[in-house]
Amino acid sequence: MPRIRTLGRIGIALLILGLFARGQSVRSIRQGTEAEIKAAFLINFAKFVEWPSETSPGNDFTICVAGADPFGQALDRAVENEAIENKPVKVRYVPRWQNDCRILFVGASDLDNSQFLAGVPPGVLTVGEQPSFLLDGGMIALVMEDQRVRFEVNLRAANRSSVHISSKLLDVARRVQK
Amino acid sequence: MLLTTHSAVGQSSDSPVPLKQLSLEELSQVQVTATRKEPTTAFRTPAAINVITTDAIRRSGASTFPELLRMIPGLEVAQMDSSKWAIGSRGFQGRLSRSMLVLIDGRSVYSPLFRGTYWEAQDTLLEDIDRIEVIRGPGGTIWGSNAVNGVINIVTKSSRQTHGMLVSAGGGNVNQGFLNWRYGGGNEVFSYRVYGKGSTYGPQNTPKGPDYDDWRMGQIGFRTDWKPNTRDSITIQGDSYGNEAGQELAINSYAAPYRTVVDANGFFSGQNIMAAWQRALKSGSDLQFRAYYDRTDRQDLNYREVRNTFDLDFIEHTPMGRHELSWGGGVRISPAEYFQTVQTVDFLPHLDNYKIVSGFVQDDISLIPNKVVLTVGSKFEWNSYSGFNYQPSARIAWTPNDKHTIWGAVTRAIRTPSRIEQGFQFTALLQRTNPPRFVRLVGDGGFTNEQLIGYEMGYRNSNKLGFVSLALFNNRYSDLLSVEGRPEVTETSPGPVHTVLPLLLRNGIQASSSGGEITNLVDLRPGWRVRSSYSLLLLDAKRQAGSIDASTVGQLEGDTPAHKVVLQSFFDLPKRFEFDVAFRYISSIPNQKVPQYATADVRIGRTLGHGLELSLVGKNLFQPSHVEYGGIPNGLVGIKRSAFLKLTWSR
Repeated sequence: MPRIRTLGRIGIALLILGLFARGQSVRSIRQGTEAEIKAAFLINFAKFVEWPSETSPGNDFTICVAGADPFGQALDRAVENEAIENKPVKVRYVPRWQNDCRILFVGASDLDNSQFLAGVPPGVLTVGEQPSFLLDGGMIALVMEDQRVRFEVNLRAANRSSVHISSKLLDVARRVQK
Repeated sequence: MLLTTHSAVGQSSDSPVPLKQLSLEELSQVQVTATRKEPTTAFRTPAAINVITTDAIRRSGASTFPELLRMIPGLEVAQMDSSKWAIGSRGFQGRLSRSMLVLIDGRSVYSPLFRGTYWEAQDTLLEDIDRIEVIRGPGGTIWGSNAVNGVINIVTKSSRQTHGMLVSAGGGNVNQGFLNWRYGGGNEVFSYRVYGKGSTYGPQNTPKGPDYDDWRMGQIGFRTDWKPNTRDSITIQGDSYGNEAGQELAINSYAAPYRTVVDANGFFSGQNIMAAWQRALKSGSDLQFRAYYDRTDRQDLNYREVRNTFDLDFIEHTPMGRHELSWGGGVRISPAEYFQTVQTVDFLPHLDNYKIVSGFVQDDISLIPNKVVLTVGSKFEWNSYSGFNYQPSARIAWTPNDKHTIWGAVTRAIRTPSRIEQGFQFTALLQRTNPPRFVRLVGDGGFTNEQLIGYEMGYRNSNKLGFVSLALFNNRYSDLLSVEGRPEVTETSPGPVHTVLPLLLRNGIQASSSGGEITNLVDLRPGWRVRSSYSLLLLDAKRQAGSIDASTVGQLEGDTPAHKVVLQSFFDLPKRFEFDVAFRYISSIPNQKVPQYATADVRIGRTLGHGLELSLVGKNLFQPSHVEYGGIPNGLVGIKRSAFLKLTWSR
């Protein structure tokens, strides 16, 4: 009776899976998906960054996402009702830097980070997802550590680009390259 | 603000404050429950694509590439014995996966001798893989010939991401012992890593005759990444490997005893080195050159081939307003020498020089920015066996918003002849009469390209619970390989006197396959992710006019399972335990006499601190052993229930 045996095994597998539905652990630690946490970081960074005053085109504050998009809808949701520099925040998914991007987020992809960073003018905050993003000249890298999202800052790159990063942000950074 | 209700799954219910209102300090303490990268990376891609991520590799407990591919819908993966695998994509399953292209960091590992991939010879440090992209369906426009039914792209991490030391070791009853290590370092400009690995596998369950299929392998390699400035990056990498694998094979001879089954070791080794140069141009476009040299030396029980492949290619991407233009070209020269070791197996000429020249152009047109993208392009290729061919495609993706993508594609793809169809003679005993009768497979160059026109469509939905993907296809093949019988002849040389029934390799079969795959990924609660998939394949083959082939139709229709179900659960337990289960059901493979089966793998892992991780992996747990595929003269080999313990240390 191979068919019945097989069905029995599927049943056992489902049972194994089902056991865990009841066995959820009680945790007091705050949790979120990687996408949600990274989106929240991105919104938060804006509170600690001053952009040079001469670069403020457009009526919206545009966050551009290039490379592989890690957010799904998490970023779109996070920017609802948000304002930066008194402008409503808008998210655009772009192949590379475009004129109205104030923050350029570079998702980890098979392409080299520097391809996305080449040609970005001063006054744009660049945020990436790999430790190597800073080596490539990016300003803030979101990195995973012990199941948490932390960030590192390349202060030299920010200064070079006239983006001022508050010391409060630097205090929380896991590492600051000066 | 609806954020908290939107993300009821992603966030625990006792925390009403949206994440974005937390301070940076608080955010740094939030625990990540699910890495959502896998679905979103491929979300807008107008092809049936699956991506295996670093984390999925680690939690699979797999120790070889084929084991990783088991979880992918639309791929048929069967283990033949300890070292051999039969893999297919949407049908055409076989020992060497003839209609599928496999690339490791852009280096093709498709062998033009017996057409396909020697899976057991392909390896790297699994911890250093960035991702594996699996594309079901034709990919000839970008990747060229032989990407008829699928492409598998194995991409390793940049050495900038692998600084530090990693050592893992362990053993068990089938994976008897293994040791893997890597060391990497560097700075802003230059990074490097070196790695090595060795494994020894015990035999599987051979019902008749001795256990023959023990397997030992070792591999070392390196990678360097150099960024002299912000525009250029240069990567140099290389590997060297050696394998010794037990094989069981029938050896035929014109003199008595005509046919003997031999158990002995096959030896294969290889070395490769690759240099890639990437440059971001001021115009906004980027350019990449790649050159590699790949040497393989394969010594099976009935032949030996030494092949040297030289490959040079380049690709440029240029964004131009609504267009994203890609074009490129390449040259491959692959001289090989064949050494005859058995009277009844021969490739002619013994020295052969296979050459390919190719170019492609593709345009991604944003018909409606961010919403509708049309991709059109074609490959143009010339090879020294079958001359010129072209492989165009048109793909369209509509992404009305970030929750839905609908895509469709029409593609032409080609499988080009290999040496086996160009100049090959394989003779096997048919009857022990007097004089004895033999059957002879003859590749005489009368075979030309196999063709496919593929129609595909798909739908993806990303919702608050997870991700659903549906892909449907109808593939229409023509000029598929057939074996055409010719009148029996008597041969006196080489003696003794015998008769031979020739079977010529021709293009006499057509086929149509239909089916689809549905994948569902759900984050049931924080720390518990479940992925499930179902794959269906229906294949209908028939002879073309003029063909008298008697066996291929039955083989094509009966060599691949029609149904496959995969269920995976990744569960984070308290106290840093991980509990992962992978269940699979595969329906019967009639032509291989393999009955349906269901089995499961389980992994229990725990991080111990100080960079240590301990895991216990059990494979094929439902039965003491089960068969997955035929192909061995002494009957079906049972794949055993097995387990191993693994300790990983990284710093």
